[in-house]
Amino acid sequence: MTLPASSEVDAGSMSDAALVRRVLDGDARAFTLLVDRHLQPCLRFATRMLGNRHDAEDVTQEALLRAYRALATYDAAGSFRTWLFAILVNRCRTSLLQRSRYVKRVVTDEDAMRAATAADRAASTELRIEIERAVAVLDPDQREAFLLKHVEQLGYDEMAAVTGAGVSALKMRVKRACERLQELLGEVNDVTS
Amino acid sequence: MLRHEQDPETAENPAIERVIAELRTPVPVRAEWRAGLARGLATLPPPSAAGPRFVRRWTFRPLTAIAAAVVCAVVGATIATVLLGSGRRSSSAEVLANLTSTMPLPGEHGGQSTVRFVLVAPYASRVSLVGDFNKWNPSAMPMRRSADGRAWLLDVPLPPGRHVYSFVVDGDLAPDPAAPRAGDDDFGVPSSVVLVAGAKT
Repeated sequence: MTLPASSEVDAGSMSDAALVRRVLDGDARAFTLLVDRHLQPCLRFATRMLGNRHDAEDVTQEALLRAYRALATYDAAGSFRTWLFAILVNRCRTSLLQRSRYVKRVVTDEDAMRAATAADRAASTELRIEIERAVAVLDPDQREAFLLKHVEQLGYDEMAAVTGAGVSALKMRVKRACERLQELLGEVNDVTS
Repeated sequence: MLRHEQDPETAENPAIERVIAELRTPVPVRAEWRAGLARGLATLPPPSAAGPRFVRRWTFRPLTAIAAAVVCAVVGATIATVLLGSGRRSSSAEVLANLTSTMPLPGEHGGQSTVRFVLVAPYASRVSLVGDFNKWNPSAMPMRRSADGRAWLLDVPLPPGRHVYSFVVDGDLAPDPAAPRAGDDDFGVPSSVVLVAGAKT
């Protein structure tokens, strides 16, 4: 069974909250539209946060499945994106904690080789690897705040709702992340120049 | 909908702007993984709006508040009695264990003592124990549900010393609500501490 074309058009223009309502009213397929809207930001955040595509896919899938199961708890007065990211950030933290005791997060040789073989993007490969290395070195809370603020472009209020941290603390984390990144990338430039 | 509060120092920093531009590059979505996600969603029962027991509705009801206060007082007094009666400081895991079932005496497993970890979580569907003693592996030590279905239990032989641990409740980390908190939490995730007798520190 598929939705009539007109319904698909209508659903595509619906707000996130309206889609959630539609899912809760029995149209489970409306959740597919929510996934389509938010999948890329979620997967991107998890990938940048964890530095590993497979972990990012696992975490993103867990977050989306969890969101689906808990959809009735979403409060339509708030942003669905904020609610979903709160789940995702929690999953990322759990994943990091699980492996932090014995795995040091680095850009692996496999990642470097894969990037290096992307001939069509050869010019930016080195820069990308250095950026990934620098981001990996950041403290997790600074990396988290930096990615939410500057990559996913959440406002500080949203970030506070997502992370549970205060706005002042988040601003400080972002500031320190920027300083640290500049410092790290500056070292790279000094060495390579 | 998107709001981007640009930090002036960042906006004027070409190096950081380059980093941001690179990190904003979309991540490839593998079709196989996307299909797996769809299959995973298809296996779940459809969510229903008729699930209000999970929705937080913060309303103040005087009678409920009084009843909650009485329950808290009774539970607090019981815990205090157990603590004082035992004549020593105990971890919350031990105290709750004493309240819910008998706790094995310290065993003689190669110098290790058995600690019973207990978490009251009647609505959880899966709980496991993670800590420095199992490399924080959430699948290493699943906890078992108590006979009355309200608590989750696990007996773990531990060497003497200080052990940092946490519970994983339906995939989310949760510290022991009544145990001392560890001061060396990682990534801001709170953990708890249990001290096993015999520590030389």
